[in-house]
Amino acid sequence: MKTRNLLYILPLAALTACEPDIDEVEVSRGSADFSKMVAVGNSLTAGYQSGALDANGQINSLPAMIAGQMTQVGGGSFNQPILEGELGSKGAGFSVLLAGRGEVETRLALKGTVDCLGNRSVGPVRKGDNYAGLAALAADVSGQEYNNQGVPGAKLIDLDDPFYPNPYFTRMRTQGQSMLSLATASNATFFSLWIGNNDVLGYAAAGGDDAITIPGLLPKPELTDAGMFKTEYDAAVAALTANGAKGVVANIPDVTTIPYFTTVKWNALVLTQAQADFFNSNPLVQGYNAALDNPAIYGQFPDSTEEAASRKLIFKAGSNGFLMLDQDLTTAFTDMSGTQLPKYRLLKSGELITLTVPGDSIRCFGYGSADISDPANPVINPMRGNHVLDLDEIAKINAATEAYNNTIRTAASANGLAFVDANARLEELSTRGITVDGISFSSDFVTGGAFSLDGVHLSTRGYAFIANDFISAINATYGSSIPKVSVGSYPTIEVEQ
Amino acid sequence: MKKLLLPLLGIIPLLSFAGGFQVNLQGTKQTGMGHLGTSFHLGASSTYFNPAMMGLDENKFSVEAGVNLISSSVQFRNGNTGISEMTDNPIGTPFYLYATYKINDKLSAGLGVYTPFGSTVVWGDDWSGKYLIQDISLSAIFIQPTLSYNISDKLRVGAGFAIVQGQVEINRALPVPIGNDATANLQGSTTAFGFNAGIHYDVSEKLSVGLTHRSKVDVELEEGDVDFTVDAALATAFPDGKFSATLPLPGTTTLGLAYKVSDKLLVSAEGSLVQWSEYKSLDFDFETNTSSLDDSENPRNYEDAYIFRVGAQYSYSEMFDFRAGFYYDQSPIQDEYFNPETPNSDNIGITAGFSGHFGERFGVDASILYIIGTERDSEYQPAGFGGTYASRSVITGIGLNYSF
Repeated sequence: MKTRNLLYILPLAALTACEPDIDEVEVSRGSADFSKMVAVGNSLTAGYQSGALDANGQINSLPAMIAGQMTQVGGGSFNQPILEGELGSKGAGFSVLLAGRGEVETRLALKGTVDCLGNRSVGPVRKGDNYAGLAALAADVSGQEYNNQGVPGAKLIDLDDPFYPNPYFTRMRTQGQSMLSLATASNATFFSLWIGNNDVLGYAAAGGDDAITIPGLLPKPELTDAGMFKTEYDAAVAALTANGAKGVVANIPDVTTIPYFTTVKWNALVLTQAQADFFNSNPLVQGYNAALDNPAIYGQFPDSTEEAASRKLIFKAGSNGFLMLDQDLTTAFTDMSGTQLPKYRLLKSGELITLTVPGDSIRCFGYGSADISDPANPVINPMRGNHVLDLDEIAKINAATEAYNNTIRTAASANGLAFVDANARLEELSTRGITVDGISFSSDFVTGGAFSLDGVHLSTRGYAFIANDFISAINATYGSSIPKVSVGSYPTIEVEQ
Repeated sequence: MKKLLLPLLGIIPLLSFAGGFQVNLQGTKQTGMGHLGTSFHLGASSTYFNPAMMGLDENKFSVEAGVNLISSSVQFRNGNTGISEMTDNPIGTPFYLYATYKINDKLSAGLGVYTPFGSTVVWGDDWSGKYLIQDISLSAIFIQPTLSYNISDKLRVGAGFAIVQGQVEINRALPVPIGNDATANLQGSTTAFGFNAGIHYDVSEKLSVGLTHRSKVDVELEEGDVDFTVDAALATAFPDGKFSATLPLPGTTTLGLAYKVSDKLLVSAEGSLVQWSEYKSLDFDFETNTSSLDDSENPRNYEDAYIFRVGAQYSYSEMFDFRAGFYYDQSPIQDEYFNPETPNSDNIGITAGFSGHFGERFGVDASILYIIGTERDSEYQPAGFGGTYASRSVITGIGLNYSF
């Protein structure tokens, strides 16, 4: 009898196994007070991605992720000026050119596309047509207090501008408030400040010194002067810490490692031997090279033989630098009749092409080489300077970034603030890559997973792993133990139909 | 007898864990006393525990069969987020079946069917480690024809040839940058071979010693099936097709001592060296590679591990035996390669069991085993995923034996 009972009891015992019980991780706010956080910054703070700000991006914004984790250590609510209706779902991308018509751009989406050669692929295209959303974007919703005060497009030097003409900022300010006075009016106990990116990116993204300008509408983009940057940054930190608030600041990533500049390679002009021969034997190319070679006729500036050599257009089978029109070249190569030689050269290793370069023009109309759609009459079609960062421009960008970052690091340590080395982190991303929760991120466009479809702003998962860097920095500085976010729990980019 | 055996064989072996994915539940009697059995004979299950001892059976013909019910759960507390997650493992049911036949005084033959390796770990489709593993089910059924030979009254040897039927199924989420809920399903089965050899010596009336070696078995999946679920835009980048992979089942060398304290009390101790260092990497070689789909190399870098066991059997009466045991089963996994696919920390096993004998021929065995998977803070560094792991298992076993 006993045995028979056991036959029933033993299996039942197995079904009710005791479970392990690992202690909860202790959390603490350390020496900081997270009860009221205000986030000051630009598009990276606002939640901008894929060329627009939309409601999803705002909900998954970097400071919203951080604030969400802070609630476990006494953090308060985190209010954001969420875009509603059409703006929230389609996205609102601001462009000076569209603003005159009262319109905004929709965000980029991944969709099936067909290029001029008939190749089908999936790539970023605008989700829909531009639409009249500017008025709604600028609508005054300043009745509430907002914790996320990030303003897409803001430069450091915009922070103290009481008349900063940014439609998104217009939403949350009251008349005459600057971004900084709006922030200090919150009397926050904790702040995040990630600013200065646009002080270099504005210049870089437009193609540096060769940016297209429209008088009165599109001014020539400038790198913010390093001395002015230091003055303004120190003033901003002083204002934000005046009430004793603690905070976290981040430095500026090297923009030349982001997909916006690394996707189209300087030497992506791939030719067969026959194509290279065709270009090399073209009378226009031969005439140009011959002119550079002929100091007897063109040699008014004999000390420029080095430049002459660097301008030679010599094509080979395989990868070639694109042919560009470089306004920095000497105009003095003039023949006896006074005709100027065009300022052509091939791109050099290390030079960068912007993601805005028109792909179909390269594929089908010889942009960056020659248009041979009429083989009997080829036309040289050089890449313009607004699509290229040359080595000089890159050097200026690097020098500015380094100076800004020295300022930021110095200000952080002088004020005892948590410091995020976003520059080092994105460099790691672009070299070794970053693996977290079994997901491997790189700086590759779309496939790398870390950047959104505009190639400049992070993707939601990219923001998530940077959010963890912010949390690490805060924990290290203030002895807190804010838990990190689960990077893999955030969505990737969906392909839209 | 036939009626009992058939349902047992019909149970699909979904198993749980010991060190690595070894499953030490090859006899209910032995499990009840710490899974000891290398140095003393407890019936037809010697076919597995030490084939040399088959000839020690008093009967011409002996048969043993049994099944275990494994209820296990593993907890993970994410080192980054602090969030706790728990496996939802199904009940595992490994089984065994042994038969021995005494051909003459010197020579015996036996056959064993048992499942010494296996693992079923179900973390769920959407847990924080989904890109490492969602669920895994692997099992290996060994079929082992065996011979033993009594060299003298004191010394005996035995060996068996093992035909191994291995199967594995793995589901993991794919960390593609486009589209959500992408997964890879990998499954395959194959046949492999190994051996199990032992030697047994009676040092005195009271003391005996046994030594066994169960060989390494390389389970080589040549024609596994991989099935990707991805967004249509990635379908050509992740083509369904075949893969090959090799999963080494490590060799185990065991030395045991048994001492008869009295006619009623037997005590025993054993040490095993499990040669896990064979398990360097779990690599999936996809038949069709694309720019997005490289072969998948997953370092494991296991280290050899020891198991120490002690146990005792008390013969209460002609009818009842009681047993108890304890073991310490070292994890073969290094701290930087601890993957939730095989979440095994050092295990402590506490066991109890008893047997009931009904007449000369028929007996029933029962065992219970409680395993504490000690808490450990580890990471799988190649994936940047770690935290604290701990596990608990309760395993109940029922066995039947019959001899004449």
